[in-house]
Amino acid sequence: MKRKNIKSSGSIVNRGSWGLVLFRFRKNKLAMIGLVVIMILVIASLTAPLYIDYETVYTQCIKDRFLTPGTDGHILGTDQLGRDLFARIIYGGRISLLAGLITVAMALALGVLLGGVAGYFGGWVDNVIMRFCDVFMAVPRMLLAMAVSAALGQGTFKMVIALSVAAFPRFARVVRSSILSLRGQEFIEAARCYGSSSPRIIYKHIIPNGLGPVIISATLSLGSTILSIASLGFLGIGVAPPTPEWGTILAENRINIRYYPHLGLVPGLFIVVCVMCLNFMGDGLRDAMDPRSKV
Amino acid sequence: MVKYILKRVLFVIPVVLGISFFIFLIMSLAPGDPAQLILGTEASPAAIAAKRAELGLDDPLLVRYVNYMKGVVQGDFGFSWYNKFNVLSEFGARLPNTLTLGMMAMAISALVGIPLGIFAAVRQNSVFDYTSMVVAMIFTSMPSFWFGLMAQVYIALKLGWLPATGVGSLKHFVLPAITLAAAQLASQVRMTRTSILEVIKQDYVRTARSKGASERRVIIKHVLRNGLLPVITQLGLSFALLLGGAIVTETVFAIPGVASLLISAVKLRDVPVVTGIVIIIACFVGFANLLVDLLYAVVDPRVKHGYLS
Amino acid sequence: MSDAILEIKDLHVQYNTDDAVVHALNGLNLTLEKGGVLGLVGETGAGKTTMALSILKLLPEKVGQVTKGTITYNSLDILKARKHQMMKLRGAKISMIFQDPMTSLNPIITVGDQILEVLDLHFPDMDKNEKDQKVDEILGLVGIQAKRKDEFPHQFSGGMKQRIGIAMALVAEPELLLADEPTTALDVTIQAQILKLMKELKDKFDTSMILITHDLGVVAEFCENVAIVYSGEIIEKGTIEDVFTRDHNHPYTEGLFNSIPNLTCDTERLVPIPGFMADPTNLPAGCKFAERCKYCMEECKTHVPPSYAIGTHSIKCFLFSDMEGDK
Repeated sequence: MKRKNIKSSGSIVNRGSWGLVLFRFRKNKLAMIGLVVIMILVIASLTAPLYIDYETVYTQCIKDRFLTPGTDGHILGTDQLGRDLFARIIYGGRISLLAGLITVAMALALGVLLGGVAGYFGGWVDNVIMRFCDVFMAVPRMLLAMAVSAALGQGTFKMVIALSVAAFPRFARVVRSSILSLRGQEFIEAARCYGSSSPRIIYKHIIPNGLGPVIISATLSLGSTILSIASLGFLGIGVAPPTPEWGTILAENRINIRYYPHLGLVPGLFIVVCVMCLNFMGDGLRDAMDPRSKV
Repeated sequence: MVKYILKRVLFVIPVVLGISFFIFLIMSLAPGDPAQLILGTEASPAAIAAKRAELGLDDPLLVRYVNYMKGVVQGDFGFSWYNKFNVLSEFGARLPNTLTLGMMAMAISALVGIPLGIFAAVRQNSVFDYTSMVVAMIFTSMPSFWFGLMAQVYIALKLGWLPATGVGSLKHFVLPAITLAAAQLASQVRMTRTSILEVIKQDYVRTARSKGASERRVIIKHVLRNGLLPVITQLGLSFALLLGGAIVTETVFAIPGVASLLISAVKLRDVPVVTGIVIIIACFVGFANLLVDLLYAVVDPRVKHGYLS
Repeated sequence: MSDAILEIKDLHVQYNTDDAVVHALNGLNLTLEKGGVLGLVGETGAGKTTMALSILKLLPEKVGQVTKGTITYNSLDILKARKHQMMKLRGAKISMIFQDPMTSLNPIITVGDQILEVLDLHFPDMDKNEKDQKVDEILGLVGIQAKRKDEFPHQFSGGMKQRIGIAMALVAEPELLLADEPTTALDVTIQAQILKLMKELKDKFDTSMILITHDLGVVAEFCENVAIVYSGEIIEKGTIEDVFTRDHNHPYTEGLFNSIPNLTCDTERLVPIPGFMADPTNLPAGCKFAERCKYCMEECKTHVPPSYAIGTHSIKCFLFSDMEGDK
């Protein structure tokens, strides 16, 4: 088994080299299943325009309403307006995944910036930034996202902003604590001793070592963000009908679930599977990066 | 000890002020002219302008904020723009429903989740452990509104065992409480398990065994007391999480609580209501955090001595 | 041996980890006389702690496994003993002092209660006042003021925590004490105090003792007998005179002696033992010290040497095969 060592020779990476992490991750069956399923979902979403005619997402056909899965070429059946459920779910997935990714990316960017600065400089800078983050953590995330949504108004991108605002403090904390734990370690001092400058230290030592917890956090956060998007969609905030999104689909068909269970089960299942796979991946990454846990 | 309490309280105040300012700030972006809403659509521009001056709506942001907070401190959160009710009293009227829901959910989550977590930890890698971890994982990945919907359809509507919506008796709260507790329960089990496992590995547990203690005694006296410390203190924080989940649960089960008030306010962009709810909840959460910290200081001698001397 | 309190015969212990099987003890033989003080010397990873834990049957549950051999305590077969029998022994008849005092004490129980627990477990009929008195007494003996018994471990220094550990181990006046590197985590001045204390207590209670250490100096000063562990086997044992005053010891023992700076003569360089201890997941056939030994012969690489004994001294090395002939 080959091991890839990270760039700098001087780093004592207490999580092992990336090659080792990859190897341990691959050994984790659940994490690998999660990865494969997510890849399938992502590819299916990206290539959707190739195999689904966009019109079917919105085309209503009242005489074809409530078809059960498998009838008449509708793989997953139709909803109360006769729209093809499969098409709506795949396109809904595009929105959920994309919105989720952008939310996490934005929150991550802001979080890394704030947490990085706070962790690296310490002192009053650290204090101010942490108090700032505390303010945003003073209320439950859902509540904050909803309040910001109220201020900004309806719309998918506005919802993304609202969710990012609610999410960034956690990333800032993760990044900060990652950096703080690294600063204490002696290899940073050692690097200074042989003349490394601050930016170089950040680039060669802190980032490779500190990246781990951030990646784990981002992966897990993606899962909970998708849940939040679905919940907000269900409540009618953010993504609005008739735009398909897993949460809005469930909301639209709410009253019909009793008699046409596929309308409730299918979108829900997609959400559960998607989030679960992301959680498997996140947990798998966490176990792979922790040298103490048995893999 | 008193100094510690004071210090912590002092921390909470700026945070609450901070979030209240932030909310006030972004809410000013929302459309809607309170003056017009009060006077009605037929009012003349002059009357509206006069009303605006009267309400101080054209004052700079900071001035408006300070005036608003002055009111808040006295219990005046203003009136809804669209529904004419007093924010604080409406909140107060709906609070009992939300609290009942929350308490029940917390009880279920703690009373079921903690023992399950302990058992899974003590029987690590057994069939029970793996099953509970998988089930917990599934529940953490499940949107709680979906679980609620399914429960509503299958248990309430199809089987008729429990009421589907509304409030009226404690029975009405059962399904909602279970729904709300479900996700929380999953993470409670995982957290408890992790905490107990951490402790079981510790050297002092081995020392206890070397003294001749039975496994049962080791678990109860040494492992649990240390392992449950963070778990129990976290219960206070889980209250905040429950508030988030209540938002969806109240919608599914049509419970007239604080969360459903929030939802309609958000859709209407009813500024005073949203602002008021956020500030009140921030106080609640801050208070809960304070209690958790205090509890920790009381129960863990290491923390206690850190602050006494 | 008629007066042996502990006899270990051909003990094989392994750890079944996910990655590999770690062979920690490979045919360990040891005897301890009643009232004796045995120093068990070896480097990290030699198997010293494993041996101590095996005696008390405290090996990690699913991972640690005894595959062969016997441990006899006062004619009781430890490996066959039932759980409740072991529980009666631990703390009362055989007790252990652990290596790291910082983590061996429960942080949320007072030190007095932790010592009291030993009495509660083994002397249920003793009345409360008598127990309290005993706790006070033992604390006094280890040099801690009795009034501090309501304090918590974090309020004590490392040296004092170790003394509390000693108090816990001795309060029930055990017959056999296993001290696992009790001074390694402490600095040298405290080390001297602790050893002195243990000597006094040993004399007072007439406890048999196994002192595990990697420090030959401590052994020379404190013990009557010494056994040297390497790769899970005892490669040399005897009285202090046997081992320390000989011209020729087992090559490993010689290497250990050469690693210590000599205060009486000029030395330019210390002579370390080259190489590393054999990989416990992949042990060599033959003598486990063979690849580091400068006297290594062909025979050593393929056959495990037997233990050659003369009187109280024995060495596990082919070089000494003619030793038994000498009288």
